[in-house]
Amino acid sequence: MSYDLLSNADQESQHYHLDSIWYADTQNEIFQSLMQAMSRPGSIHNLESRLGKSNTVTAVLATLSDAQVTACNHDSLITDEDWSLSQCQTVSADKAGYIVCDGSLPCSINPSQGSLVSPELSGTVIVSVKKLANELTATSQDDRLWRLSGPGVDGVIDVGVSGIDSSWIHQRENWNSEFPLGVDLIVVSETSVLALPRTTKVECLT
Amino acid sequence: MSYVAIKGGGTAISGAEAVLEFLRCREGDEGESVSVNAIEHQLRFLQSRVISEGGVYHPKLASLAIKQSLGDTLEAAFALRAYRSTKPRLLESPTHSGGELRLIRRISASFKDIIGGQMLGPSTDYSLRMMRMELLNESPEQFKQVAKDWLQSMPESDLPDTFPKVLDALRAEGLLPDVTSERDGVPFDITREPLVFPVPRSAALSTMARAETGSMLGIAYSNMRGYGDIHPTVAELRVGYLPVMLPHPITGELTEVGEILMTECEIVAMFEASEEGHKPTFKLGYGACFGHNEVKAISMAILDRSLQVGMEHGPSNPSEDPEFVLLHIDGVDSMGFCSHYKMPHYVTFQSDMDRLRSTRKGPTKMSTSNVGASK
Amino acid sequence: MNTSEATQFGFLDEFAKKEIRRTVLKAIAIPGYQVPYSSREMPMGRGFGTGGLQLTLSIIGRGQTLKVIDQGSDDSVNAVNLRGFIESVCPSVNTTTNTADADLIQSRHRIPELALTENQVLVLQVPYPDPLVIVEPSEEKRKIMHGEADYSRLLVKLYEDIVHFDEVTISHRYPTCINGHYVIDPSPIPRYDVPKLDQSKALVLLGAGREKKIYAVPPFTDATPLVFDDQPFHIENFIDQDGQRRACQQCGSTESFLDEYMDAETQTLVFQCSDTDYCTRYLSSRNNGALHSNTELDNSAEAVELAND
Repeated sequence: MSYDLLSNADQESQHYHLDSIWYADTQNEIFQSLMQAMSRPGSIHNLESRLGKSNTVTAVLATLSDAQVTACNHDSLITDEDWSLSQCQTVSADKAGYIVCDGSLPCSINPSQGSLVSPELSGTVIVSVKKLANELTATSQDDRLWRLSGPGVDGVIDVGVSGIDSSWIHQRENWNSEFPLGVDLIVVSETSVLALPRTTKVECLT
Repeated sequence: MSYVAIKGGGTAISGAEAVLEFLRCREGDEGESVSVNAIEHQLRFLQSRVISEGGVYHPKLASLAIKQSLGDTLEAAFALRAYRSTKPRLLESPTHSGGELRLIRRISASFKDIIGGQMLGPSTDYSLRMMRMELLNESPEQFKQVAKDWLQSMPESDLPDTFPKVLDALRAEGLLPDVTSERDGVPFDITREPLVFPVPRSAALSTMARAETGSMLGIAYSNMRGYGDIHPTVAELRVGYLPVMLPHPITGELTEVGEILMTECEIVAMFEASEEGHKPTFKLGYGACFGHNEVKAISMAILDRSLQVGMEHGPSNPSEDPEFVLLHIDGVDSMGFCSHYKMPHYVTFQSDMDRLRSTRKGPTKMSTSNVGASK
Repeated sequence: MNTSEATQFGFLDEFAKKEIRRTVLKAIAIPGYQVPYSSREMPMGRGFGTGGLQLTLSIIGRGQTLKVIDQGSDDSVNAVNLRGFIESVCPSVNTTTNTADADLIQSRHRIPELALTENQVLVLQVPYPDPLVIVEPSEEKRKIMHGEADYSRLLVKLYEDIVHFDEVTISHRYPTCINGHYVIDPSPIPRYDVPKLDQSKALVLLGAGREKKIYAVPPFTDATPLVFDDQPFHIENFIDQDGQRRACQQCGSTESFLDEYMDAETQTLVFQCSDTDYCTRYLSSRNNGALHSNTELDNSAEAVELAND
């Protein structure tokens, strides 16, 4: 890959065999889903048709990352090859702009929450889970049903998240106790994405 | 139904462009399209200004920008900047030293004898500003003869390409503070990061390097006149070509990829009371920009010094206030915003009238005689 | 070198778009906070909507539909200029004047009369992003005031206004509190449009190119104009000397924001909708059977289009 991003139109004619998530048009579409997800916490956006052979967590990183981004591949969910394609600068979790984590593991990171004058200098955590749904029958211990409210939510919305350790939601509460400081979460499953910005109130129903 | 003011935008725009294009070419049969080469050489200082304020070292496009903007420096720099927005940043060069400049001009106001000597070079500093009437009817033959004669009369020179910097001598004597490497890691790139105050000196310097010459001169002049007390001495002003080195894409070895014409100025300011345990030293101000722009480089060096004073002790004059200086010297920003007042503001003005009428209610109620019957 | 060589889809290089996209996500996550970004130079003047334009170019994708308005009009000089530029650098993007058809609406000084939906994004062009600038010139100090949600000096300013004039004289750019913390400058929309921000179904993004800031009012978020309890917020009133709500002289609507101007022939003051798309559709729908409310306009507009075919 050259330094610049390729447009999808170039894809056919190249020999690189890069997956579609590294192309500008796909990244534009994935960004639109992320923007909707962040605007409407609890709304679940299916990315399957955009992924090619890649997984969702890599697709989200590819969409957001370039050489200016600092990131941490905390649980090695991203392959080395994809990590270098993302061009991001590798740093520790407490300094990273984006931290990629496995949600099934207990939360063991302490991302930056920004400062009072610059709350945007906070880490965004991309958490990988098993499944996201707008309704859920709790079947295993790691299945959660959350009731969300706050900016972007018309009243309340319920989401079911499978395969997330209970520590995540408690840590999130600590990180977000002093608005505007806080940490935004992008939660991805095998197929879909939802976001929990720092303003979202989460009530655990199960 | 009249909607004259607001409708028909498309036709109006293309019409306006056509009239301007006509003005550019209105000489008709008598005229000749000015070449970008002619602009680069015969309008040297205009081109230098645009290349510096545009912040892209692209001499050909800078000349084109001047041509298409009919010589408006702000517009031309603007076109160059917009072109830049389409280009990704690919590489970072290593730090280059002004000592590597292949000089065409070099002067010092602080010492009569500098190592390597003064070199006046191309300058109007000491020429009389009399109208040169002979240029009104300069024939192509006369024009061509000038370069021919000059080159023939030039002796083979054994001057070195580079010269040591004047300040190195002062530094060796301890009269200037040592160069501190502020640059640990990545330099502040104003094209990739917004200025969030307080900003590092590198951000201030790069903002000034592409700032509008007149704006910067105005603020620097306020300091010279007494709204500040830098009292600068030009230690060295140099104009020349700097070889640009970049890592080879495969071997990583530093390779010369071209050279840029630039102007560099170092000013020395009177020493300040120093911290305890240190001997007092002179204070330095630095200016550098693309092209041959001496007034800009000197203004920048003065402002660099005044801003450092402001950053250390808090500003007591406009020229010492980083927010005031750095947010008001960009030509593209300021001319854009100035021009935007020409756009329609019907809605906000309607809203203003509503407030004014509302606060004037009572005996001074507005005349209603001309309020037509609205359906 | 030709001109097309210099541009790719969306004009900006992809790294510039990515930076803006990351900034947009932060802006949504911190409602009303002005997120700094580097802001590239665009080929139109700073102040002509370069902040909005950078947002639009970073967001819009192939096949999507865009509407561009200025002062409520699709056909004003600046709207035409911006739309033409976007069409030229985003060849597969559709443009429309129909508010209901647009996925993305870029606007200067107005929010469309027709209520926006959850599937739409409104991009507002912003000249001055910071409402505190009238009381504090230093940005460094303003950032602290914002962080602490300390708007006391702004409130004092409003109070002084009331003492002098019996009411707040801010006509447009009315300071508006988002989600109970940050106070924003909602861009130079009239007060008439401020209530449309409150619990809006559409995402609203605000871009200040020259001042290098992006901020957002997420959907379903409180947006409250700064007021005192005993001094309610007033929108522009279009009441004539007889106490009647003025109507648009073209379409007859009494529910829209009006521009006034002097009719050259009759030398009388006349009023007309500032939102030209609304005006046209209202007029058509009225001609096709009486309809009087904004909410019904959506359907009626479609009916009109069918009738015109």
